[in-house]
Amino acid sequence: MKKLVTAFEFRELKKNYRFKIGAIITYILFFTALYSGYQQYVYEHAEINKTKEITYRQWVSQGDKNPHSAAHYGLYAFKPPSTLFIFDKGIEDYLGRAVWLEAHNQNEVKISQVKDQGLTGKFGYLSVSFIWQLFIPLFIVLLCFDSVNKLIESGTIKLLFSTGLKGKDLLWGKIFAISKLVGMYFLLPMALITSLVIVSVSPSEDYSGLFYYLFLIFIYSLYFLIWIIFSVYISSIFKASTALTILSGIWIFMGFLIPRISGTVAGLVHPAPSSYEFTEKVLTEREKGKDGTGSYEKFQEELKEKILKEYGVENLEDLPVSFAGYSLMESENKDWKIYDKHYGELNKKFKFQNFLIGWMNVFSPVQTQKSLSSAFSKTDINNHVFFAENAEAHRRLVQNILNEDQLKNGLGKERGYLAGKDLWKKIPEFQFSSNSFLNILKQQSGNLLLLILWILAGSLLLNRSGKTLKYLN
Amino acid sequence: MFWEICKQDWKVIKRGKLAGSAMILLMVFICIAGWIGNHYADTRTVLIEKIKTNELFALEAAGNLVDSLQINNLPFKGNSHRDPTTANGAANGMGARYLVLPPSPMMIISIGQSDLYANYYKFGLNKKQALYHEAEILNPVVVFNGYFDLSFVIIYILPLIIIACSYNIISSEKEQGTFRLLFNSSISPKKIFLIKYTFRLILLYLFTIGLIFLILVCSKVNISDAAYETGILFFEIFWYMAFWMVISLIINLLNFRSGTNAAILSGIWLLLLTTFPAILNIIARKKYPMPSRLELIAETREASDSARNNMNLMLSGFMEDHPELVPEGSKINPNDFAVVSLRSGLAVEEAIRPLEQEFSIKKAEQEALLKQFGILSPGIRLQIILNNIAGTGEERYNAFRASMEEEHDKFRAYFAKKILAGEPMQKEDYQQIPQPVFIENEKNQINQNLAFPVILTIVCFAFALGLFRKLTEIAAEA
Repeated sequence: MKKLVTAFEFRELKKNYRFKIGAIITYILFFTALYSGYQQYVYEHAEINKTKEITYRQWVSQGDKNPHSAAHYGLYAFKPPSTLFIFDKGIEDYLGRAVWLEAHNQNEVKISQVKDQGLTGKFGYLSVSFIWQLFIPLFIVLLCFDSVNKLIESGTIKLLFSTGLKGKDLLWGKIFAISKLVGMYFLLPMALITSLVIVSVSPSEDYSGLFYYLFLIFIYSLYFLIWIIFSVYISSIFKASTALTILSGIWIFMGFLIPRISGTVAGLVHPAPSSYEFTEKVLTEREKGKDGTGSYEKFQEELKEKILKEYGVENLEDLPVSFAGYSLMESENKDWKIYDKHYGELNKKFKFQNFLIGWMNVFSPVQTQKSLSSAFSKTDINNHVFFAENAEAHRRLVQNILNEDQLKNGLGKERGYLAGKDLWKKIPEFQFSSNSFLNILKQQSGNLLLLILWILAGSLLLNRSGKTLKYLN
Repeated sequence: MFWEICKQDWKVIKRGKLAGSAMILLMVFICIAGWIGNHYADTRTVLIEKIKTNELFALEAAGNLVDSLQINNLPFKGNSHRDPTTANGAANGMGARYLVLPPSPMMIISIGQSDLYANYYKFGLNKKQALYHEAEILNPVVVFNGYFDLSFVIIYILPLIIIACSYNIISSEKEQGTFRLLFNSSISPKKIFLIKYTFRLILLYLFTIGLIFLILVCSKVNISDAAYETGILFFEIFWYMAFWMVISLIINLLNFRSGTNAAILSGIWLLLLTTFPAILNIIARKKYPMPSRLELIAETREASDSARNNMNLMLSGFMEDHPELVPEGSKINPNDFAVVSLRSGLAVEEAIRPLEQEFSIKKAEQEALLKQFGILSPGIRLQIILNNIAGTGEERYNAFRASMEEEHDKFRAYFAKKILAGEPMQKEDYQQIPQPVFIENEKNQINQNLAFPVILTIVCFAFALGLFRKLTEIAAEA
């Protein structure tokens, strides 16, 4: 019986004018989004590769210098776009793409796209994921809102029940039919086209992007299923016009209100320090120490005492190493602790904010899906934080190599010591490889569980509604 | 007659749960958004006060330190890059000054671009390009999601409330079987529906602006000082609401069921307020692509390397290019660290100026495109206006950035003269450091064609009037 309902409903839906109009609009938007995503990826990929190459060349050919001057000259770390950027840009426009790795300072990742775009950027960007997250659910709502109630309102349901059809079978039959329609006409063709584009830009023999994308298709299938189940459920308990109003309201609430509310609440509950306060705190602690009683002079005196004791000599001139190198290394070590503390506190605040936002996602599968989609597309905040941490680790590596060289080879010449190309070449180019699939899966396990819970809750409600359906007419 | 129909409609609104709930929701949303706007405005005001106080304190402390070192004939023993007795150390340390963007009186209306751009700049002798990157520390996820401020409520939620209060004014009559009765009454159905739409529009409008007015008063906004902005705000809200009410009327006249009306109106909302702006974003990027900021890094570096390599050759050129910075009769020490840094900074600035200008041109072109085609989406236009009213719009920030360039030049010139002349800093010098000031543009900052929403709504209304002939068709079907 269920199969018959599915087959009949599928045939009917295909003929529906809402399906035809919706499909045309969705496909126009899909191709626009895919093309612009592809173009932007190609541009950014080339831009980053080119700048990366030039800045590294500049580093290597900077000429003879004191290693510490070279450390101030610094290097750049760039965040390459993931191939799934074509599908889901996540919050990439709001995140920086480059960080200057210099001596003493842990700089922030800067150069975000949205800053250059002004107000245009704030209005959002049409991506394939945007269409999948918001348009297809709206399309599902428009297909489902009268799927059951029209049978009740027209009295057809009595005829159906007289044939021995059970309410539960009717509802699930409709769900299978709508799922088949969405899968066959939207999810699969769009996924196939997007996959081809992703493969075309993937570096040879590295199709990991495609693997992540296949997993995303699975997650999106669950997401669409949630919308189908709840739309059919609402349709089974309300009149068509009420069902449509409720479903439109839910769609707007989940897609547009919850993100604003959650972001604002998170910002109010755990406010981040102002840039002024943060910088002042770091600078003061670097100059005056934790208790505010230290000074540059005091620090240098303590270092002198320490190094003399360490090498068992009485004067700096008797040291077997360069004091300048030692001082720079110790100074970096001291500053790293300060940066770790302050950036750690800041990241903790952001984590709390994101936790709160994530917690409010419980009320919106749209938000849950957004998080999952951008996480597996590697365009979310976690990927960015991972990049920033990697870049900082690289900065520290660079400082260590340069300071050690000063320590070993700068003896007697101190700041007058000059190093050359051989040393600059020892500094490896920064390479970023994002978090592993398993790590992302671990980070997103809560969101995945939420999607499954939504499906389970919807199924329970639907089964209950199936039992009472025959008493409604 | 008018009041009779209004009274009748009021009863319908009271009976119908949706319109009533929608109005309560609107009240809650406006209050929350007002409180949030107020909170952000207060936070910024407090921060700016703190910056100003600390800045003055640092200048006084620096002056006193220099004085005491001179009296006791002692050298400065701290970090030489921050030595307050030298001009270079002072400029990069205790003599740094701040240019701040004062909060505007109507700031609570819209957070606008204030989360993206710098609201204050710290001046030192570092490269001016570094100032471009200054901005508040904010969680990108929060910025991406956007804020629940009054502009969001007005632009996005208000149309939904209008839709909820008007999506079935005509269709429900048909569905309840009362449509034919209207045709038998002495008043024409066209008049009845027009009065109903007008009544609901006025009711919602008064309710909305009443609440917003209360929020402004409670937030201690001086209404008489901001009378112009308040007037524009209420004017714009009226025509925005009227536009959506007319759209709802048009859809009602197309003879769909109430549910379908709601779906179509939600679709129009989605299309006008989110999809169209997103597509416009793609067009703007495609038509006026920004030069690469990343490549700018490489070019800056190239210019910096070349400046340092040709430092000695450049000295005479530098003196010719910047006579305003070179004190008369002074002998410049070309190898002095501060002199080298200053000259290299100026040379880099000079070299990358064309590229920087290209950024400004492209951005201006994108903004012009937004203004030009933004009128097709009333949301974009209103967002620009609300941001301008709140003093958080692009134009004010552009003016602030331009002011930063000028004020930084003055700041740098003060220290450059001392550096080039090799003059040390004295106590009184700290009081002479130019105080950067942002002078507001006195011209009309709202800068939008106010007649546009009026014309747009009238055109849509004229179209709706043409559709009224459909009422007979609807009556025949009912």
